Amino acid sequence: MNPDFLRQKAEIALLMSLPFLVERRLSSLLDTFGSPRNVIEAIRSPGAIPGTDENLLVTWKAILDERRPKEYLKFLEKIGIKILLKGEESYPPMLGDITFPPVGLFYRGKLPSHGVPTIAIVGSRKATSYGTLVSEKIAARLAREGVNVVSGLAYGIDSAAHKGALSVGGFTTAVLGCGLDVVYPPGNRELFSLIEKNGCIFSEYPPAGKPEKFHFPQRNRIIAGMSSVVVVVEASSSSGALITADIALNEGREVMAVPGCIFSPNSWGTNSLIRSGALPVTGVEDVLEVLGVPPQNHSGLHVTSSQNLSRNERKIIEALSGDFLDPEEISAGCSLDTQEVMSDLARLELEGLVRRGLDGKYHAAR
Amino acid sequence: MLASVNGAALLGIDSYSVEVEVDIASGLPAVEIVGLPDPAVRESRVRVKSAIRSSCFEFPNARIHVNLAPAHLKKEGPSFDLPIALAILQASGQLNCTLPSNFISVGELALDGSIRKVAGAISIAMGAKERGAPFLIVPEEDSSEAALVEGLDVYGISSLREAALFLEGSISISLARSRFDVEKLLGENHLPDLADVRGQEPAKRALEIAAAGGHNLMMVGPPGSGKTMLARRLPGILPPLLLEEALEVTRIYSSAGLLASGSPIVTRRPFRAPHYSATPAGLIGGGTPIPKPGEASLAHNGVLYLDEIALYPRNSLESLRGPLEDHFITLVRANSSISYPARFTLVASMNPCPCGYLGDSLRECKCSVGEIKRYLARISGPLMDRIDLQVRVPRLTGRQMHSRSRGESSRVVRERTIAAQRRQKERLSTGSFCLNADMDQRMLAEFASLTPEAKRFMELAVEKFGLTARSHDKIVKVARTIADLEEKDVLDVRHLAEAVQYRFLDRSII
Repeated sequence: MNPDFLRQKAEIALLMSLPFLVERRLSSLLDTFGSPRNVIEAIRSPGAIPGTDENLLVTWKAILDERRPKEYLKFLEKIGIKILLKGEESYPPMLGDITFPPVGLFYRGKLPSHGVPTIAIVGSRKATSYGTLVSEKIAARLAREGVNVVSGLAYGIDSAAHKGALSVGGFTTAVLGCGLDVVYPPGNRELFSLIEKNGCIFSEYPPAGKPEKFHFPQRNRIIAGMSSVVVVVEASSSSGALITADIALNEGREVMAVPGCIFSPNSWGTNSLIRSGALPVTGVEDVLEVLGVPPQNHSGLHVTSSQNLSRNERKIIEALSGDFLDPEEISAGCSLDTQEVMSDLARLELEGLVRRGLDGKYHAAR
Repeated sequence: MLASVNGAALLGIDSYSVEVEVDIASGLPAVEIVGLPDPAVRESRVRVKSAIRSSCFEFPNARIHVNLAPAHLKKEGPSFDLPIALAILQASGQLNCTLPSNFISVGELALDGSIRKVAGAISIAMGAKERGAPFLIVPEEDSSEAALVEGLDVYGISSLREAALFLEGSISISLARSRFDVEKLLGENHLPDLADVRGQEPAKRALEIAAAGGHNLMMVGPPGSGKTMLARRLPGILPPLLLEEALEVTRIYSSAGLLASGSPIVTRRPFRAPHYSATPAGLIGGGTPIPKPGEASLAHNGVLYLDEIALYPRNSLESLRGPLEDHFITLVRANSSISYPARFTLVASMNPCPCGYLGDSLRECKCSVGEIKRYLARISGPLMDRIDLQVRVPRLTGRQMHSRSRGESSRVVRERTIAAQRRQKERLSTGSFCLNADMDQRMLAEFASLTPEAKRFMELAVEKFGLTARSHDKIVKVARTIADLEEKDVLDVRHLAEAVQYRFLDRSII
């Protein structure tokens, strides 16, 4: 690689590691001073950057005095983190077009291949069994079509999307709101390493960067920015997924939403997105259509009755298609014994035919 | 003059006899009590003096030494009043007889000479019988309780005067007899009925399994869904107390002074629901000089219910680990160590999330997934490891409640749990009381072996739900109980599949 470029890379990585010097601030400094080297010099010479907090400048200067760009790059390499600059060929093409594209991105894993269609699947962390199921199915299908499935590694819809894509050997990208040596949420450690192996993990934040609250809307701009379509699977009124959808609209991306039960608080956000003009997702084909992939038979998400099921099991699945029920409601609805229902549900769940949500309600899964 | 009369003191639920020695010597008039008396014992000099005078005797105008032997154990409470008074009367030559040796007497004196009840009469009677005392004198009020012990002559006496006359042989008193038909009382079941709870079939089923196999139970549900109402119905579906179990419970209540007057024996399985402000000492027992039983022992052979378990301080919950494992509590103090039995079924309840409304049909839950995980993790760990069953108790809407039938009564369910426990005792006859929940690794391998098909099922479940080896064993134990309820010897997939449903908190959450 060009040594000049390598140096520039190291310098930008170092600049990105300074506290509170990310996002638009860094790009405006680069615009003002022309090159990263000049920015470093400016920070080290007193009075060159007006309008920045004195204490912050002192901190930055101290860090820059201590670290050399090349050493920092070596340190990153040692902990398995690489950096990708805006302008490099592998930089997500659509991301460069947004209002404040990241100057650089830290990453782990392998970069998505150039020109691959990219779709974000986002939604509520506290998903229902319906939400995780839809998320998984859509992600799996898209990944099979060669789509790079982007999401945020959060619990619920995000995790389901990553898992769906991985389940068919597809490519998936996670964008984090913290440093790449921090696993957030901690419960997703296993998923994190799976994605590192079979996909890519991006972050704008330097190693040891904490998952601060204010990072996430910025992170969402990257998720929306690198995708041509943002699919919101489930979102309550306060969900961060709605922020992603907002950014996507502002950046001219297609926003799609999965309709849900009007009584479910988790579908409030998605249903209101549809009301204000987002495309409803009535099947994976709808998403593929927007991408321009020719539609095949339209049966993707519907329940297909399975082989070797007993009459009772069939009854239960029937009751659970299109409805969330707890075991007692099932036993009342199908007039079966409680113990029979409990036992059948466990077996059906192991066979992947029904799902249990975080709230203890069941739903048919195929 | 010297005289001695035997009294008795409690050490936990056991009693030991105390020799009360009185010496009347010349000197300045005073009463000196030695032998590590606590204030209540020391104050007995006042009660004894007045009671002797009120009973038309004379209190010796001399120096009186009272020694309570063995002298190294601390003596507590007012139950030595009667033996002290009798010994003083004997030593001052006011009784027209020599007292028979080795009989035991207990009682608190009122100033007018009447005798008040004491704690632990049944334990004192058991101890008296063990030590071969010829007869026992107890307060009239306690005579029915003490008379439960067979093979011991018990006399209930209501005043000091009466006691003196009786010992002199001037009056005769008939032997105290228990006024209660214990066997009949044990058979009765006036506890809250399961049929009062509408719906909540999975929770009722879990209660039945808990009762049948001695499993501890966790109920997860929003506020107002009926968790407490359900828990209160567990004692009613447990098999009735056996006589020896009832006596054991009675001794604990008696030593804690908690027996209701008029019911000398506990005939129902206890249900204890300590508030979450309970301290470790409140739960497992404590106090000085002789520790009193705590809630865990008061729930012996019954149910200990911890409502909103997440609110209990961690150290209080941790203190329950010992009794959950060993079924007894040993309280060690500087000069005594006391064991109280504590074999109880733990029923705990908690909200599904910090705000309580996760999965509720009426209100939206405001908690984040991280908060929910942290909340559930608060109780996990060692205590959670001792809870075999977990069940959701959703809140029913008014309409759902009315549409659901009353279901089975406790009487019907209890017949099944009795039969299931009988099967377990025959199978696990290890000499000691043992139910499926108490099975160790060796017993699991011997009595709950899995068919190849069942093994495959469990492997799949462990993989798919992310279960640990520990939850695997718990599922097998619970499945064993489910099979016992069906009177089946072989564990099949159906039983395991149902049991898997009662471990939903162990599953990994995405």
